[in-house]
Amino acid sequence: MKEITSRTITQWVKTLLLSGIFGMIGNIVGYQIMPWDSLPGILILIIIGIIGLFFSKIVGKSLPAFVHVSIVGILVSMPWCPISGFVMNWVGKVNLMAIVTPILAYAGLTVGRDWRSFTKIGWKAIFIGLLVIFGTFFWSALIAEVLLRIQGTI
Amino acid sequence: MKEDFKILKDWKLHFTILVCCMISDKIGTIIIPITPVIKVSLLPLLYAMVFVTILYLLKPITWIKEEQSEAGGIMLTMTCILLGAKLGCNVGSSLETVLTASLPLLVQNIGDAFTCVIALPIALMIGMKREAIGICYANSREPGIALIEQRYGKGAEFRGVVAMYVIGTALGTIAVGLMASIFAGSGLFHVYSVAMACGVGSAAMSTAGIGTLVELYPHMAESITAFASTSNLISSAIGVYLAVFIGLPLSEFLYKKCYPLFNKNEINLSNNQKEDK
Repeated sequence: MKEITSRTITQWVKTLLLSGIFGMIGNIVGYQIMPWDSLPGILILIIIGIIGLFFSKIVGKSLPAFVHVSIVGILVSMPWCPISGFVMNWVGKVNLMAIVTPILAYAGLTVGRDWRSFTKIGWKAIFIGLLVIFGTFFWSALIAEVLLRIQGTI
Repeated sequence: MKEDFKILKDWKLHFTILVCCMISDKIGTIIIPITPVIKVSLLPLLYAMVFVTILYLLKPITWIKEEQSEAGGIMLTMTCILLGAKLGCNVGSSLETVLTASLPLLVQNIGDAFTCVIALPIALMIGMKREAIGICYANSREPGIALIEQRYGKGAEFRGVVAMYVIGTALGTIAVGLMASIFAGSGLFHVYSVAMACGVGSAAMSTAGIGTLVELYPHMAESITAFASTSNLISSAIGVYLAVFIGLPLSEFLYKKCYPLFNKNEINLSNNQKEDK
C-alpha cells in the first residue's frame, strides 16, 4: 500500500478537473450539451474517480485503478443503490464520446514519441499485430455469439 | 512522482490538446458507406490522435515534444479514470440487461487468449522468432508489457510486446471500429456479440467500437454501451490472468510445435552442431 498524501489527492483533483473541463467543452462543441446540463454529471464522475483511486491505493496493485473506479461507478448507479436515480439523471446527460476525445489526444503524444520505433517495426510485425487485434475480436465475438444463441438471448 | 505538480503548469500542452479536441468534436463522426450494410465510421477520437501525432512530429511545434510526453502520460491515465467512472455508471444503470448475459460476457473474454492460435503460426511462417511470442500472446496493453518483462527480461519477447503495444495504440482504435462495422454488417454476428468483442482490448479501443456501433445501430445504443463497457471492465480485470494461465502457455506450446515446421534447415544445423560437440 502506498501512502496517500494530501499532495496525491490534490494532484488527483486537479488533473481530474482538467479532464472534466475537456469533457465539458467537448460536450458543448460536439454534442450541443450545455455546461449547466453536463457539469453536475462531470462532477459526479470526478468524485467517483477520486473514491475509486482511493480504493485502488488501499487495495494495492492486484487490479488496475481503472477497474476500481468502474466498480465504484457500478455501485452508485445500480438500481438497488438509493442515489442511483440522482447519479444517472446527471451522468446520463454527459456524452461518452466527448470524454474519450482528450484521451486519444493525449495518446497522440505517445504515438508521436514512439513514431520512430513504429516506423522501424516493419510491415511484418504490423501485419501480425493487426492479426492479433483481429484474432482477439474474432474469437470474442464468436464465443459471445454461440453462448448468446444457446442461452436464447438473441 | 515529485514532478507531478508541474503537469498542469504546462498550459501550452493542455491548450493545444483542447484545441485539437474541439476541432475533432466539431468535425464530428463521418460515416463512409463501403457497401449498403457495411459502413466505416470515422470518429472524433481518431482525428484528435492523428492531429496531436502530427503536431508532435512537426519540427516548428516546439511545445509538444518528448518532454511533454510524461505529463501527457499522466493526463492520459487521469482522463481514463473519468472514462472508467462513466463506463461504470453505464454498466450499473443497465445492470439488469448485463446480468441476463453475464455468462457470455465472462466467457467471451477468453477470446483474447486464443488470438495466438491464428497469429503465431503465421508470424513464424513469415520468419519471426521469439519476438512472435511477445506480439502474439495477447492484444497487449500496459500490464502485458510488465508481464513479459518479468518473465523474459528485455530480450526479443520484450521487443515484440512493445511493438504490439505501439501498434495497438496507433492502429487499434481504427481496427476495432472497422471490425465492429464489418462484423455487425456481415449478418453473421449479432450486434450484441460484436459489442462484447469491442470490449476486449483497451478502453479507447472499446469506446471506438461503441461509437461506431451506436452510430450504426442507434436504437440499440443502451445495450451496446452496457455490453461493451462490461466486457471492457472484465477484460481489464482478468486480462493479465488470462495471459498468464492460457495465452502465454498456449503461445509457448504453439511456438514449440510450429517453429520446427518453418525452420527445418536451422534445426538440422543445430542438431549437427550438438553432435559435433
